[in-house]
Amino acid sequence: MVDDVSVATSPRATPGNAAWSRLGAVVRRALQAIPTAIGVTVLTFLLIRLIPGDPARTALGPHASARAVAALRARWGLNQSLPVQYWHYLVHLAQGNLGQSLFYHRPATAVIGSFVAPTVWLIVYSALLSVAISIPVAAAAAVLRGRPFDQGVRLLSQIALGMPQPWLGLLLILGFALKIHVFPVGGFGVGLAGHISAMFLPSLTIAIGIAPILIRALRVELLEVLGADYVTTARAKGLRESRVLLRHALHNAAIRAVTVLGLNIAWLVSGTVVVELVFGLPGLGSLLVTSILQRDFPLVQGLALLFALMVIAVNLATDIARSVLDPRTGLS
Amino acid sequence: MTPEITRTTRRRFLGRSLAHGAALIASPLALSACAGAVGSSGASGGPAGPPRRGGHATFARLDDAISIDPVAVADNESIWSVSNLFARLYRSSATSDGRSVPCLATGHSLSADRLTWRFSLRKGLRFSDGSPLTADDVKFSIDRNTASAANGYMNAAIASVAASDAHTVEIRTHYPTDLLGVVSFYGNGVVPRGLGGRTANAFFARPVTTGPFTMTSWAVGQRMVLARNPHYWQPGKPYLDGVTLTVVPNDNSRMLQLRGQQADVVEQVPFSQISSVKAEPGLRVVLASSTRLDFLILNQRYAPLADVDVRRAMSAAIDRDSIVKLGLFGYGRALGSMFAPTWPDYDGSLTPPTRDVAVARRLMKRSSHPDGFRVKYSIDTGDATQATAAQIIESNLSDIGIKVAIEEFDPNALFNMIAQETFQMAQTDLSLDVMDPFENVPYLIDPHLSGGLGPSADLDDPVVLAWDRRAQHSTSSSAIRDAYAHVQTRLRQISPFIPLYSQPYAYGTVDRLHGFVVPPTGDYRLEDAWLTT
Repeated sequence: MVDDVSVATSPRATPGNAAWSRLGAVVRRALQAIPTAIGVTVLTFLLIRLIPGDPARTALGPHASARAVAALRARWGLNQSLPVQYWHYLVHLAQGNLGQSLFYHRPATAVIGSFVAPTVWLIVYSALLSVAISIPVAAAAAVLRGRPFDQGVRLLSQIALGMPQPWLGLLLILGFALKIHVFPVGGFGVGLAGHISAMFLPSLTIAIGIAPILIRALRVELLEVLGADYVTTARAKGLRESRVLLRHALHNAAIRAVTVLGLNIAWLVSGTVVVELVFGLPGLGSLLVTSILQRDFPLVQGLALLFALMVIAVNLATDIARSVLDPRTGLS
Repeated sequence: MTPEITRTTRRRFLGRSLAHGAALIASPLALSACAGAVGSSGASGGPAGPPRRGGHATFARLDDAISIDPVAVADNESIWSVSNLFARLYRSSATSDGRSVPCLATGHSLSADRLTWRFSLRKGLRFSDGSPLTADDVKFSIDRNTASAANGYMNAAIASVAASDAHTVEIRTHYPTDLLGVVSFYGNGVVPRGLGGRTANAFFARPVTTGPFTMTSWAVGQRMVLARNPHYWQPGKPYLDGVTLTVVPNDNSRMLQLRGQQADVVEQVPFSQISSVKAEPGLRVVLASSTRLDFLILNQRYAPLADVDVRRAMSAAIDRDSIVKLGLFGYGRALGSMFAPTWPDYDGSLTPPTRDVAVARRLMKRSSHPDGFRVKYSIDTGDATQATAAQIIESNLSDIGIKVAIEEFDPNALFNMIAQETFQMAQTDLSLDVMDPFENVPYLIDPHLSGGLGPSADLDDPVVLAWDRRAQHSTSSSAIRDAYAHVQTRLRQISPFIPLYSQPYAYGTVDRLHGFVVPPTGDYRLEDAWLTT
């Protein structure tokens, strides 16, 4: 608080300076992420090689001679020592090169790039849906505290939290795709409208898993805020209830919800695989599973690094959002 | 402001909030109608009538192809894609008669010394780009496969290939052998000589094909789009304008796509779901005999398994009928031979052993391990049938004192363990891609074949090797049949492998799709498929 006051009273604390300060914090956070990313590359590099399985034998099939398999291993550099292989990987990585997919014979960046869109859609869409579900429901539950609606919301939240995603996904497909035919059974769809339609059920599956956590966090915060002096003052001034809720209560209650949402999105980044498989989505999670099964080392390493960077980015974005909502909380 | 407060009650605010949330959630409903991506499940198969030309089918498969280069592929999805893109001189018959039938060739003749095979090409053959297909292209393609690391083994008998004229290919072999299986092999699929002057990567990104289809786009790992080859050698075929091969690895999701008519064909209907798919209006199940056989491989480096009495006792103790009933839901067949019933030269006299615990105990008693032993049993973690079979086998073997510890591995790890001989007992499978046991028998029994199952099982049996050599070095069908009968009998006697069951290929289709043919070799004939409206 002392710092806040000093910043607030300092002649240098102009909006421009605050923006520069925030930018500096973002850069520092980005730099702090580098050791994390390097740690991820080391772990992934070692772990994928610890699993039994020879990609060269897989690629050439059971009938290939030992000499042919050895030649392919040499061509891929797999006969070199692990430190040498890792060094080569790092050198290529520094040049923005994730290597060549062992099986698709294309740059790993190109293969990964072609799988990014469904996963990004899934993450963003499910985040939007979970917010769309959570805010009105949490607000209603807070306002109607202890009433049947509130009790119902708490009960349904518990049930939703306990539902396994594959099962829920299949139920939604059975209901909305097979019974009433309003959404496709699976796939990514074609064109913007196609994507919005095709990605709705998978995103809803995830949103139903996240929404109870958000609702709980938002409801608790709203209850606290609705009892605060400034809300009473706002009401006493004659402000509309909707304005009190939207402008004052929700704004402040959202700070904690943003953190909860950010944590869940970060988890989502690497946790979309189940939903992608259930809905037959060609996303990064599905690609990761295939790549691990094939022992496509460059793809697995590239995907793990991408997931790590996405998690770091989401966490950073969450902190930025929180600091915008509540300037007292910094980024450092 | 005060009137505002009275107008916007708390209840009304809540109602609006919920309505706005619902509107955001509901908006995709409207959009989904615009997208037109939703199929109707009400479609049902009309009268088939004569084949109809046109339409585009969607085929949901377990996995994507890894490559479409005939000489570089080894996995089924790639092989079956290649089969619809690149035709060979001959191909396996679509029926279960075990024969190879002419494809790009009209027929063949064999020289008096039984070393030179002369194949006559059909007149007017063209590639998908309209350029003429000649004997030089066939020679290039077969030579290219002979030199390949993955599939060259099939051409081991070939000494030379020559284009004696534009329409005649002469293949000389090192020794007299039946070459029809070899020229039916997917690796010998015909591509333009010199790949049309392009690199392999460039060529197979936009291939010029000889099969019923050509590939127009491929988003690796996602979908491959095939379009009709307008110059295919069979007039009028393929019937379909195109086929999209999609990737849906999850069994339940694939079945749902079939039920939602989003896919016209789906691969590998789980045996547990066949009856429900069959019962559903508008859907069909295509159960096709396959060349696949599932069996146990026993590593004789593990002392107890080096004893032939132990191996035979294990075979006698296993209840194959229960495995077929519970693991395959009755849709398979118990096996007593290391040849599946659909393989050419299968010896039908080798009936599956009936479980006989008394015989098994007698064999164990006279073995080097009369009191039993412990053994690790490695299976594929993703195969539900294997898991059921493993539980039954575990129970069966405990009756003769063998304590089985089931260990599950992903397919790649299991394959690697078998190749590196680091297993004790494992379940695996084999199938034929051509109607010639030569494709698999050396792989099973040759003790010096790198990556083969012979070294994995530590099998080195001169008797079985001699009979296999006799089969390979003959062009007489009766002599080949006799030699392979001896191979099967000998393998049953020494039991380095314990045959368990064969299983059919199970595809689900919508009933407006007709003519979907799956030969025992698994390379489905999309050229024969057609759609009613």
